[in-house]
Amino acid sequence: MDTKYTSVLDQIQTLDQRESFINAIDQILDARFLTKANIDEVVEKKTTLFNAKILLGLLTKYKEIYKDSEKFDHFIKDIRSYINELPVIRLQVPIEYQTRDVSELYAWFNTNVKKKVILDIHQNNRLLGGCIVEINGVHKDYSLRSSITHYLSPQK
Amino acid sequence: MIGPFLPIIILLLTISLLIFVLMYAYFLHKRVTSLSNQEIHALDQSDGILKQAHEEAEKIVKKAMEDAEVISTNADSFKADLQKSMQLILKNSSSKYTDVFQKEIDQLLQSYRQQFVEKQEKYLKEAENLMNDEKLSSQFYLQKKVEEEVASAKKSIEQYKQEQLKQFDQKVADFVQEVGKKVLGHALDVKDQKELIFGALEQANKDGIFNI
Repeated sequence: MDTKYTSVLDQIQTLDQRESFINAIDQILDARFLTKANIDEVVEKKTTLFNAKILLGLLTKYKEIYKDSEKFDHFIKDIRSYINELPVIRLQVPIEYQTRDVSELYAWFNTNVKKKVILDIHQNNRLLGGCIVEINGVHKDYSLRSSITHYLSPQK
Repeated sequence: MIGPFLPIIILLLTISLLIFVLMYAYFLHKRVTSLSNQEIHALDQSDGILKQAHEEAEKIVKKAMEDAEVISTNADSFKADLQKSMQLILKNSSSKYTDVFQKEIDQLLQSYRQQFVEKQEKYLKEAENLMNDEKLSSQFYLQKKVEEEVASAKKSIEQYKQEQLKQFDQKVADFVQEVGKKVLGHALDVKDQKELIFGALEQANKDGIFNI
């Protein structure tokens, strides 16, 4: 995947957004193949405003691609594959995260981890503070609750 | 010549033999009775020693349990100390309060657990010494029985100690969770919570979790 796409795709930050975006791509691929309809119309009609903005943003940026049917297919499948293979980081946090807050977290990952990730955020009030991180089947508890329990453990 | 006296001689010999048999039977009976009495006495003695050992073991376990109750009551003052330090930590620190909080809990808990363990160890040692004395004063054939009693008493005390420690830790853990929810829940606003989340992520990054 060309890294030049990633700035447009940075809008896809959560697992829900990724699923919705992939679903939108699949609909476009099906619709275009079946009806040969105008791609702009399909994008606007078949997807949500959020996904349409991303897709049209990409298509506007790479006009030469979507005028060529073969190149377009390759391009859109490439994006689908890239997004689908991004690592998912599941976070359990003790507070409710709004879209604006998610962007703060996403920015932190961009700056500190230096790679694009997809966030899957869940609220868990029992943590008291901190968070639980899960990535590729690895689960690590960095919550305040865990620290307290650790310090009260008889094995300590 | 002997002919006329022969019946008398046979009679005398028969009577002597009878007397001898009767005397042998009497002494044999006497000996058997005497042995039985010794055995009964020995068994009575062994029962007594075992009973005494068992009673001692029970006494020690009971004493240890009573003492555990005192320690458990002391846990209330521990709770008060903990609550006080938690409030102090929250008042005086912001972003780095977690470390201080952990250190405080660690110190308090170590101190109270130590008191608890020391008491329990003391009673366990006393029990062991008492049982060993009992073993030494016992007759050889009773020593095995006494040893079994000692092992059983030690096991009971050890089990009890572990259960009490578990309960003690659970009580404190429940309390900390409860206070944590009440005190921290109210004291930490969204900004503080976010700070803790980013702190946790920084730690995760240092641990290399995101490179997996």
